[in-house]
Amino acid sequence: MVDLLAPFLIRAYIAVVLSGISASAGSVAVLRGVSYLPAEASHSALGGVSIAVFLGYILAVNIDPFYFAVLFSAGSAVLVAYAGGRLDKDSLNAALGGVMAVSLAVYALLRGLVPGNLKVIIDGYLVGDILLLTSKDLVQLGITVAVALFFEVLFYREVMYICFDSEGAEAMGVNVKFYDYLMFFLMGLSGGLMCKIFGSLLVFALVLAPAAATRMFSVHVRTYLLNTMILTILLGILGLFASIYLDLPSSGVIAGLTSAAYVVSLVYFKAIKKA
Amino acid sequence: MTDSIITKGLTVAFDGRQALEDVTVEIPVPSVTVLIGPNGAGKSVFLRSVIGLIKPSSGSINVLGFDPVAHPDNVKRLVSYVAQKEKFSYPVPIGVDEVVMMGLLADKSIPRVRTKNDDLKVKEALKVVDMSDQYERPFDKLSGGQQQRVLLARSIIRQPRVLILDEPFNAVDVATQSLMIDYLQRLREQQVGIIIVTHDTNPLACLMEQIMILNKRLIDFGPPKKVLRPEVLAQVYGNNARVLDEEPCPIIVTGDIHG
Repeated sequence: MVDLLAPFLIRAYIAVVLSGISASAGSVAVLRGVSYLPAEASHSALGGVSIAVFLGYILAVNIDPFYFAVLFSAGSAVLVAYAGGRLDKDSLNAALGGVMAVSLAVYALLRGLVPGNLKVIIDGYLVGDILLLTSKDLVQLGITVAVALFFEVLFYREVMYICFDSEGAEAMGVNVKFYDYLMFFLMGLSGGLMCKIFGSLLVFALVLAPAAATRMFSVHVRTYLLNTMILTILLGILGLFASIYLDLPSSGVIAGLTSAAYVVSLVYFKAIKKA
Repeated sequence: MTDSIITKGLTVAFDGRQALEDVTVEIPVPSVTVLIGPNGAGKSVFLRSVIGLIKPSSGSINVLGFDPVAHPDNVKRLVSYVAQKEKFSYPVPIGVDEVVMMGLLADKSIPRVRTKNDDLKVKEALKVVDMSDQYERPFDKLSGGQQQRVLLARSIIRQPRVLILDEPFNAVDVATQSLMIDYLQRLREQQVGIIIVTHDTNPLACLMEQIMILNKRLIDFGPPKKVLRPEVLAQVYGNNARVLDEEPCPIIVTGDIHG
């Protein structure tokens, strides 16, 4: 029988809550028309992790890959905003693919240049395990989430206005360029966080799936962001319990639940629309 | 503060093409100016330049005494702009009240806190455009005409000196169009300057004081009776448009005319 209050599980509960708060970035990405951005950012984080590990290897120093991960994820998101132009969604999505390709190339190249024991560190960001998070990891994640949440709350209206009508917002004097870059930065930051908690491969399921599911039933931006947070946290906790009792990988089970939530929501939404 | 919008030699180019060329015009404020021209004539570019969303390649703009490039905040406080509806992102779940509230909160400091007084002002603005019963309804659930009225409420709540509307009657039924024109008439009586881009001047016949015809260059500007002449329209629309000399304003007719 697993002790549900074991330290590693308590750390996992906290990580689920932090990831739930971060998942609201997925909602912002949906509203902004760049749904894949957090996932792109988390993949770009791999490039940063590889550089950190490679530099640590050749310089024989200990470099924490997390800082490089969030730097690359947030930086790549800002680069997408710059490369794609601010208002054209097609150009943004093209830039998104281009920036991710560069980061993944760096990842693939440098991963091949480090010994096997260091490859494990890099691979930990590809397929993460929420049960392996340390207290230090949680402090890093907590500070980053707090920063992201602070700006998200402070600039909530700017985000809403720009997503709804960026030209109108600019015509009314809102500094659209600044807030748009900030929005991309925060979405990228969240992608990097989720990469640390669940691994970049599962960020689609953890960030995009809950946001896509709750979008169908949310009638206001505020409730949409909250619904995404709540759904991610609930499914995260449920997934943790399920993975413990079924003895399955936690991240995989949680990702399975969020993906299932999207499919169920979609089927239900289509059914009630038809009725 | 001057009481007009003046452009001198206004030229705008982007993406390697000339959108506006040497446009010199003085639009008095208050007055109602209708801006017409074929697709791609630079009508929206002209409006966006006036409010400072696009920087001119050359020439100058003066809006009620302010240059929109040098003093964008002053211009944005004086001018309200209703863009074409197609530019809005409807996947954003936002209520009618919040859309109108944008007009008020955009001028406030961060975190742009919404007060009870703001709520009252929003209700009042919605009442003016006959939309007060839709206060909390999701914006994307409204019809095209209702959305246009909400956007108008968002603009007028800012109490602008100039209201600029880019094709406000697209996808709007006759009843809504009539209601909006009545409201524009009242704004004009309150000394608000109005500039409207449209493809159909006829519904505005009783309201417009000037017509501006643009086809990258300024073709003509002046009172409707002076501007709406076959030889002027032929420069823009070829022989597809004819003019019927009606009172109080000439009517443009397209297609074959029999009898």
